[in-house]
Amino acid sequence: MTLAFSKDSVQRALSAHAAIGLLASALLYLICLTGSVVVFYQEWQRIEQPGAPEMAAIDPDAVQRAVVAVLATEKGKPATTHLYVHMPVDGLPRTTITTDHQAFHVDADGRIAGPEENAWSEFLLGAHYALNIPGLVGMTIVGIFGVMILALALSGVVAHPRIFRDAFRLRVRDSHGIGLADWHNRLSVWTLPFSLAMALTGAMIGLGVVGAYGLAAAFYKNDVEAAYAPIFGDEAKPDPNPAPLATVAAPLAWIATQHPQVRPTYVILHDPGTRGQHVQIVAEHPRRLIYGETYEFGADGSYHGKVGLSDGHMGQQLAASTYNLHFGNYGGLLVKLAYLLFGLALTVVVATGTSIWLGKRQRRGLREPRLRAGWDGVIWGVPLALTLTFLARIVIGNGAPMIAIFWTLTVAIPLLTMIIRPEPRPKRLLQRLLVAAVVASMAAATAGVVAV
Amino acid sequence: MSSTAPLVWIGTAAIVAAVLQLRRAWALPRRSAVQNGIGWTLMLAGTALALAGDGAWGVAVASLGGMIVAALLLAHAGWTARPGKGRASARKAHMLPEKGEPRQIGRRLLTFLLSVPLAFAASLLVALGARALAGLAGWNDADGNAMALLLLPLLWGILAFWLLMQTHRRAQWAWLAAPAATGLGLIWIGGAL
Repeated sequence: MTLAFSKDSVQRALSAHAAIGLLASALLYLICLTGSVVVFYQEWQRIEQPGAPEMAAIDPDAVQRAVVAVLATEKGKPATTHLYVHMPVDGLPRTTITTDHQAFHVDADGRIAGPEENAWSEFLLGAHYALNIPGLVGMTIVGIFGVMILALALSGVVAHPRIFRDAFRLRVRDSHGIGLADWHNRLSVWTLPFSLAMALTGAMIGLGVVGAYGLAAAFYKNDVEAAYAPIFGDEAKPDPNPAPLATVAAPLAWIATQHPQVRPTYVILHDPGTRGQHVQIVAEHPRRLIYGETYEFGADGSYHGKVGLSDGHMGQQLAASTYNLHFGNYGGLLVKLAYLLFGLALTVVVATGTSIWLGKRQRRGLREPRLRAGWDGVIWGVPLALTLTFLARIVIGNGAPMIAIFWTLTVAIPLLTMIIRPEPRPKRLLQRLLVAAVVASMAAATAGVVAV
Repeated sequence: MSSTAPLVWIGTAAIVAAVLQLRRAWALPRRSAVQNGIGWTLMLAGTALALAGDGAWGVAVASLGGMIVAALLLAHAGWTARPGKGRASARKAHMLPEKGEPRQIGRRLLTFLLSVPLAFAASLLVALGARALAGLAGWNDADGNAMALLLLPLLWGILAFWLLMQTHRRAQWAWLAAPAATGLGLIWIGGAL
């Protein structure tokens, strides 16, 4: 298959491809790499805290006892507005209760087992989701990078007229840049459906709030919640007057009898201990891309209906499918491994893109050792920084300043390679450091598991 | 995935067969529309079967199967590749000025402004315009809002690329103004302004 574009269009597409790619390169590389690693978000949590109690399922009454026990520890603190019970699922068979103030693992009898310690996993998710920038700014920036992948995919296809025809050629043993270009082009083509799906879902998630603000301004008198409500349902009005704690056991029992095929993943108790309290159960539906359906209950356990994410309007089903499709948690370990493979392929595509551009400049006689060293510092420095951050988590503990460690290293390594050691190329040195850091991290993590 | 619908497995097999057929077709000394067509037909049929079997979930799973087989074929191609003597491309991307060329920082900055923030604004207006049109057509708010949230990044990506493909500044302005004005008009007609 040869796409018929004029020579001028091909040249302009190449310029566009290079412009977008270089503008985005370092952060896009970081986003793709952290995205590949965070596919195993659940598994990372198990590595971080191997001693937390695990169970295949938990009795509804035990969940109720756990909720009471956790809320009892919060006397004297401002009342929590949302209490989340993470229910045991295949990837993370643990019951964890999170309030506005704290998070605890509980055992199968509903007793508090200890605080949740998953700071590395949360840091990793935050790095991918929002570059660890608090608020909506980081998410929006990451969403913009999703848009850039879309534009890169389009311009890449137009800039390389033989890209499909050559889809099965991989001349890895060719020097002078041919091998590198083949890696870039082949991985791009074969991960194209994956890349487009990741880019579009990532951009939808990242830019969702901006879009919702637009919808709110145009159609809902600036009420952002009202813009989301037709899709995800609306929040009930709070009533802060005290009331006996709502039952979460009855809704769980109701789900088990009325919908035995679905699997509750979260119980959400809104405004616990008030007259406005109500319960939502988010439940996974088998062989669906949606993250789940939300079932609504009153404080007395009476069923009030569902939001419609599973069988409501097409828009609801589409919006609810973006998360699982993006994070790869819809088909067990096999799908996660495929996402890791394709995510790393996309990371390699981004890395080789800038390397190809640098190589072309070099072949045209431009000598830029500092620029080349800086890019080496990004390609090998980011995974090195990520590994050392994980090592810090294992050695120092849950309180390690992971955001500071990661971003300091991520900025410092490329800068240092450019300033101090542009020649000989720092690539080999950084690769060796990365291997040493990975080995040290694996040893430390294994020792941690064995100690438990 | 124990109770996956049989149609998903058949669809996955068809997509895998499509990848194998395309490999064969693209390796032919002369382009064959028939051989290429068989490959693409298998791809479409596989996707349709997976969709019929388990909806979007089925398509997602089946497409992963095709991509994995392609990755294996690529690994084989890389493993068996012989060292070549070809010279790699050195064609200019015109991203940075070469020695002696003017920097044109103002022109580059304007191109950035057009293809990033202004293209975003135009895409947002079109997305909201489409939402207004959906409202006029009697769509439910959930469908209209989800469509707008989907269209915003999709249109922005396409528009940014298209603007960079234009050879004249005037054409870039026109490609920004036309969709933005259309979106604004639709929002106005839809009664939101």
